[in-house]
Amino acid sequence: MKLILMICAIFTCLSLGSSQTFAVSPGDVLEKSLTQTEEGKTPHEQEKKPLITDQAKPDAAKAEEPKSVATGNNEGEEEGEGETVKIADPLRPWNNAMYHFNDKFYFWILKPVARGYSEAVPEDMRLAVSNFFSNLTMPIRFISNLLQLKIKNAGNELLRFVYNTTAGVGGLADAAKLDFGIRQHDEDLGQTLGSYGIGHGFYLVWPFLGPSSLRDTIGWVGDYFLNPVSYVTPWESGVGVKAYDEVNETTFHIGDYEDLKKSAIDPYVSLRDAYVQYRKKKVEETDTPAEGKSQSSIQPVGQPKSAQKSITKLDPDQQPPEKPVPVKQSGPLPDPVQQPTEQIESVKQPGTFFKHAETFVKLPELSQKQVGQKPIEKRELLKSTIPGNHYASNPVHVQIGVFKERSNAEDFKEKYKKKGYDTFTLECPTKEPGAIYRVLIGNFRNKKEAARLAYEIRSNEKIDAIIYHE
Amino acid sequence: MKKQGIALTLIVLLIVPLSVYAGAPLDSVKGNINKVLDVLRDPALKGESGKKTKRQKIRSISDKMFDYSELSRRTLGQDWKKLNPAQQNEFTDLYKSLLEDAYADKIINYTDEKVAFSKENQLSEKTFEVQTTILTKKADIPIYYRVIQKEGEWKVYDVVIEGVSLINNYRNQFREILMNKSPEVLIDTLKKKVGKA
Repeated sequence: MKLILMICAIFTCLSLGSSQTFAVSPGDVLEKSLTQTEEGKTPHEQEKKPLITDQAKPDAAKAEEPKSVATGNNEGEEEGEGETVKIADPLRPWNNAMYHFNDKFYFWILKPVARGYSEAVPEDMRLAVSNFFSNLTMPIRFISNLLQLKIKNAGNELLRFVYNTTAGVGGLADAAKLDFGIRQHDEDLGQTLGSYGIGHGFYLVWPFLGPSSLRDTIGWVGDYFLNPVSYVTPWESGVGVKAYDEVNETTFHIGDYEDLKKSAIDPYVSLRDAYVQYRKKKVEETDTPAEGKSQSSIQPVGQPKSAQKSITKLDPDQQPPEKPVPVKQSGPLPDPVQQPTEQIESVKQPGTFFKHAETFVKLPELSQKQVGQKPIEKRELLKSTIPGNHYASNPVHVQIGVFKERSNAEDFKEKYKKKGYDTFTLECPTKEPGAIYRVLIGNFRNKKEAARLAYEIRSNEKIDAIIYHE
Repeated sequence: MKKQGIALTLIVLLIVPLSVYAGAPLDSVKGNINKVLDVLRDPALKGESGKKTKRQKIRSISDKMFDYSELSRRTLGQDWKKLNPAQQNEFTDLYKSLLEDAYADKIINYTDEKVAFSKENQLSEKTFEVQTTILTKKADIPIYYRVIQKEGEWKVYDVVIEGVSLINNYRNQFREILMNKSPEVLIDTLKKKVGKA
């Protein structure tokens, strides 16, 4: 208990001094006494690190790269070397024991429980539960963003909380993401400490909780106090609630750990390394993976193309003609007017309460394959075998044509497929012998989405498009 | 008109010589991934019976997509020199089957995931990073492919999933073995792992 209090005290010191200079000096102590992770680097140097992304590092080795490629000699290998992330592991016997404990715990208890639970509870409900809990932990993200001076992200977290709690019915739906594309900014206090330049210290595996490090454990303690669930009384209920959250989360990750074990030569080392690499990325990432100013600053060369290919968020209500049509391939031609990647977060126009707009404005060239939720099932629908899961109850499509001849329908389908629509044909038997062939698009979650696309097609392609509902 | 076009192209090429590459890495990765997706979504290959064919097809795509020797060399890093040429070849083969075994099954079970191709970053003169995202209902998983230009083609030499680089992850594992054991032991371990002992 005393130990925990002490750790808390250290943590409070750290978090109170939100100015970086202050935070660095305790970090310095930690660094010198405990870490071997970032050899020879002062925290000041590390402090700059968050600005340099993963991608920037090989860039530094640029000079050597061409030579090694050309000659195939050893220099290229050294280049990869610089990226290796290491962590001190002085408590390996303990960690190893805990790794095996968690391994057994996962296979003997957690996985079976999660399996049974996921069979009993439909996916959508589990997603809602997951959303609910992540909405609850907003304070962790809010404070962490604030402490990292990511003011905009902190504001977004607050907005998300308010909106998801109200419009998202107590946080069950991530309405802020669906309606405005405001994403969650995953930050915790461990990352915050990392962003101050504090290294991991050493690797530490906790029973039940899994891989961590000294730094991230201290972060966890802080997170604990920022998590509302921690204040549930009696404390047993709080633990129960957290365990339930854990089981619910596990249902989405069954198989991940198995894959790691299957592919690894030494699962312990593989997990340790994956943890360190993953946390490093989390600490360094400036924003959502899709954007990141530091990334674009590294390499302007690929920019025109990449801007074109980037995720473009459209406002469905006011659509300037130069913007790409949803579900339409933007084509290989550069489109200078198209929004750059940064746009992803910038469309937050209140009033455009078009649910799930994201699904089909997300990525132009992708959308042809992803209009609906279930690309595979579209093929299955083709054969009129509606799959028995997920959206099977009432698939909604957009119909753009009906033909008596199969070949005509196929031609029509191909024509619009080339334009980027996710078309397919559906053979519908008629009363008299024979059949008609419908050319349909996508598999939509609801009529609203389908109606949206039908409207787009009518106005952009000047052809008739209606909702087709089985 | 045509002449103007050519002139314009030349000017553009002169100004930004590297822009010749722009897009090529992304298109290459995208082409290969779309091929894989086509195989996965092929209605003719549904069910258990189609799995074998799927696996074969995906394997032949991945053979073209990846540069396994580059991947192996970068994985071992400085330890690569500890292996003699024969061992290096053997290592490459075994490592390749390990990766194929490990990831083929996972990929084959993909159904409704979508892949978004967001952009490419240049890492060095000959290497790029193509950023993609797998969009699942639960979350968006960033997967970056690092590619290198070899004989005019873009070959993948590393895959970075949620910040975890494949070759770095294996490097640490192999290094632990090579630290106090011989390369033969490493190769034997790999053999056991892929069931070729």
